[in-house]
Amino acid sequence: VVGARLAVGVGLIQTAVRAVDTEPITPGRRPRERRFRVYNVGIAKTGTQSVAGIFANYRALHEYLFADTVEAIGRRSAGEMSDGAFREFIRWRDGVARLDVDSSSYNSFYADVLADEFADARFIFVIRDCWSWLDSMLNMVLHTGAFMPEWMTEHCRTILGPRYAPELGEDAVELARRLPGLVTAGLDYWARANWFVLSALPRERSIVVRTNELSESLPRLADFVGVPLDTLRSDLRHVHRGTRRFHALQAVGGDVLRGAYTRAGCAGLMQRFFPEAASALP
Amino acid sequence: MDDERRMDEQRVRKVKDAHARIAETLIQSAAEPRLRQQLLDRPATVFLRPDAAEADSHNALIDDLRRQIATQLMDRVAQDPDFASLLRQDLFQAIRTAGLAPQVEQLRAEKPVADEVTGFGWGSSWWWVLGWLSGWG
Repeated sequence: VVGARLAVGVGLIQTAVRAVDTEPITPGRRPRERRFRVYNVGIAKTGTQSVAGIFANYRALHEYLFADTVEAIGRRSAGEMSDGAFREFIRWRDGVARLDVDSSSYNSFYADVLADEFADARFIFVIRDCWSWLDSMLNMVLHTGAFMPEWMTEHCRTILGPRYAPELGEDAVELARRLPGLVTAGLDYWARANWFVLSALPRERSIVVRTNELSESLPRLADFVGVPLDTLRSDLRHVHRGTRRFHALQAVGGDVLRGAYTRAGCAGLMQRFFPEAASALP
Repeated sequence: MDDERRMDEQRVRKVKDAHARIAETLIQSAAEPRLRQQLLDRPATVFLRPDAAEADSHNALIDDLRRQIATQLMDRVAQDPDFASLLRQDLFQAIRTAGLAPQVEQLRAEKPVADEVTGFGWGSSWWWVLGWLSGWG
């Protein structure tokens, strides 16, 4: 009797799973269950919002569990959280919302753990040239700094170094004084983070897309993930456009930029992915 | 630049106003059983304008998540006056303090995407993170 009940139960579950699998994708309604597991491991300001937008008909989120995750990254980095505890956190985090696409800019910090923990996961790695990336990053933090909570300011410091302060966008003199340090730390982060992701990703489960080609990459993305192209949202492929411009790179000067670029070791990545921009200062 | 700054300030003000309204709704409902029951009957009204709540209240799963979040916040307010102050000052910190960030993310994963939710930058998108505010524009 128990066996028969179990069989019925398993049959019901299988029917439910089949129903989920065949549930049509309709705009304006997310699927109830996860259909696939994709992590975007591009760093901040490479189009993480756009990737979440492109997959908005699926269970896709941008900056998922932001505060909890960057706090865990910080604790692990400070030695306050063991590798085992961090992995447990990553597994818990994955199970909370059961996302099809997790497009969070800090996934890049633990791309190796994701590749190791989730054998079925696939990875989208969006990479942007270091100059437009740095300009965009500085614009964002100078623009929104005053609205940021403390944990987010701390996270910005892991990218732009300890000289970053939330009120810099409102203080031109202090900004000019600190800008060389922010540029140096930013380019160092860009090179380190992108090299780390490239070394961590399993090649057979990954796709690399340049930010400037993201808008035209929907067919490649659909093919890579295994979803119909018409379920991707081309209308949400560029959802975040910066407005206020600080022109920080022009203000900092060519010598500082050249020195920081060389010291950070940006040239290898730039020549590989953006040869047309590798030799030109902004 | 002035126009852009004005728009930023308007955006922040709008979000802060919405947060203040959500906090007051929860605090008043925590103290008044009739209001509490009304709110739990139509949990979308905690987070949305009445007309938006009407249009948005036909998904049982989303309403269940909203109900869970509202219930736990009201229970916490009823037990802890300091928590009511935190709710007024900083809605997101109050949600995190109550351990409700995972439920909020589950809610976000269920809700259809609106331009308002995805359309702002890193810092400001965090203000909109709940998706609750998408009908409050």
